[in-house]
Amino acid sequence: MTPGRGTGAGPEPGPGEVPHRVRVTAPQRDARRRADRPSRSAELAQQTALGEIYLAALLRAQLRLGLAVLSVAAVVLAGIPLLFLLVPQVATTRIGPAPLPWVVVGLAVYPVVAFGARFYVAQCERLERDFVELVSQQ
Amino acid sequence: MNSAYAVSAVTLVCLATLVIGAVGLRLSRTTSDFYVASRVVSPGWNAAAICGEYLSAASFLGVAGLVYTNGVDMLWYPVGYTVGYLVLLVLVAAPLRRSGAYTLPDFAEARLESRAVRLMASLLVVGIGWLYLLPQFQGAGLTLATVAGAPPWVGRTVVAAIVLAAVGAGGMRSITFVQAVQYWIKLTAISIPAFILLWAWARGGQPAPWDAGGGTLAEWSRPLVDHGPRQHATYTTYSTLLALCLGTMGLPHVLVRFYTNPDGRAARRTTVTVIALLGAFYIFTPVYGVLGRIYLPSLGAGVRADSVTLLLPQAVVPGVLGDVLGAVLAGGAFAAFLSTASGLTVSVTGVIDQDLIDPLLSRHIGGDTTRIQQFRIASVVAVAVPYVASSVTPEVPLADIVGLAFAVAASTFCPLLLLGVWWPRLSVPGAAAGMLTGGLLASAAAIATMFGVGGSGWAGALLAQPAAWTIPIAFAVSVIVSLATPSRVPAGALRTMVRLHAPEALTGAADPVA
Repeated sequence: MTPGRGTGAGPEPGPGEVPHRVRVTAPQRDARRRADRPSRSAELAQQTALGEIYLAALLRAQLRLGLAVLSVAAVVLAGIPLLFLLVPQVATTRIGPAPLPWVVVGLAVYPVVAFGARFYVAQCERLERDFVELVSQQ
Repeated sequence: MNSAYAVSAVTLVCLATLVIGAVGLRLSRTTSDFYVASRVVSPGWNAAAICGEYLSAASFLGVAGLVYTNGVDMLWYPVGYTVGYLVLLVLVAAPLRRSGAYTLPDFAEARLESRAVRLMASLLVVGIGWLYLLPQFQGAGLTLATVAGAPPWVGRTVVAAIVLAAVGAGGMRSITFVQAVQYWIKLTAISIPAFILLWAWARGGQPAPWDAGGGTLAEWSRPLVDHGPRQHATYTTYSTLLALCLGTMGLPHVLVRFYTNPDGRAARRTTVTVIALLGAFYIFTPVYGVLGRIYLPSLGAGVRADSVTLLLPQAVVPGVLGDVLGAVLAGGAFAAFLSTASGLTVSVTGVIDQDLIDPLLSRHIGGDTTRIQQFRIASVVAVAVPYVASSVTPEVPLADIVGLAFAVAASTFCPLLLLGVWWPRLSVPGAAAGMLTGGLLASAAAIATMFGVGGSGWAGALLAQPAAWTIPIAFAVSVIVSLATPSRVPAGALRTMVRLHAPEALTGAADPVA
């Protein structure tokens, strides 16, 4: 392994160019900060009663968030064919030259799904941040 | 049609794959070691690599073929392929990465602490991998038959031989960069011809395929209308969507890519990018099916609808431009077969090698064969079975076979993963019984469909798309058996759950297992 050579996916120095000096660091840059709270994380890992309660709370919060996102996705996705079935006029409406079902299922769904994914990740990271703060405050 | 362009494009793609496979041995010794050791692949590259491996024959040719034949309902296939990653993201991406499992059998063993469940998961990986490899070989045969008039076995043999050579030489698999580039090749190959063909259509003044005269819409373009052999459209649409959404997480070649993420957080971010990249690809594939309705009103006897993407350029813009666009599409299609097939082959080979050959050999021969020989024997087995099967099974539309592979994955690994990640009371017999029931039901339905059992009534619809009933049954069996056998819950279940869900900032380890 050659340190400082990057991932191979990053920018490589061109021919004749002096390679940049790269500082090689461990993946966890906040190791010092983390060292201040070994007891709490050790507690979680060792599965003490308190750790179990903390984790059960996080598990529930994460599952609730996940199920909320999936429920919205399921209602939207399952609702589209249902709408076509129950309100046939919708299925024959046109957006410009194209029938609405083609535009919705072929095009519009994708940005919505991507947006939902982004929203989930933001919420999930906030949950985990709050959890870490809660545990390390003690 | 002048086949010289297309044959050159296919040859170019095959040669590139072989060269990469040959140098892969040297590259992977440094690159892959480096990746796995410090895992510094950025989410963007990793996501492109996942998509590069994921977009297969079904995506590149199959979706257009289905849209051409069956109309607007088939647009749910690419939607399902994409939403599968949303489900994966929300329910399993980060916990799976934190589990440190490299393959699905690894996860099964880590979570349930049982060799028997591991063996079962291994057999399932092999079965699903073979079912998914089958359409890759058939697609290759079809492509060379369409663009060069070669008999179908030529394309099948070319792909099988190249995959075997590349995997045997050291596996192009481990090189994230190569798979990432494959994605951009496929996106270019599908999008640029689509733009040119759309432009030619707009200039040519041909009517839209959905106009049936008098402002009404053609039956083909209306949703949930039964036509032809595809009956019970509403059930089939919902069941397909369910299989694709829940099956993605259980595909053998998907999980392994998440391992190159540094941690659970990066695994989530990677998945978001995957969804965006897949969406960008899938908005182009239906274009070929739609334009096919205008320019190829009939395909002629014996021509499969899966070839509509390859036939379209010549029909829209005859001459050199058509030849060149056809060549670009044929090259892109081969990139799809080769990348997906080699990803699947490596996954299946690894499992055959580790979990099936290894225990047998060590019992009977002792240390007589070397590791690398054994890996190569396993790779021959991994390719030979679906290769032979691809020449004897009847020709089912490519995306339909892939749909069945998704259904089997969704009926087996989905209950294992979801209950394993979220339910501490999952017991060893519960997991095993769920996988067994779901696996048997879904694969029986898959085999019955491939051989045309069931006909066009309700029985045919239920067998052709079994997910809507096999998934709930598999979940129910898992839960009921687990509740009945509380004493067989693995001893370390709670400790494993902590590892799966605790944020990295807290456990203080990028890789809690290492």
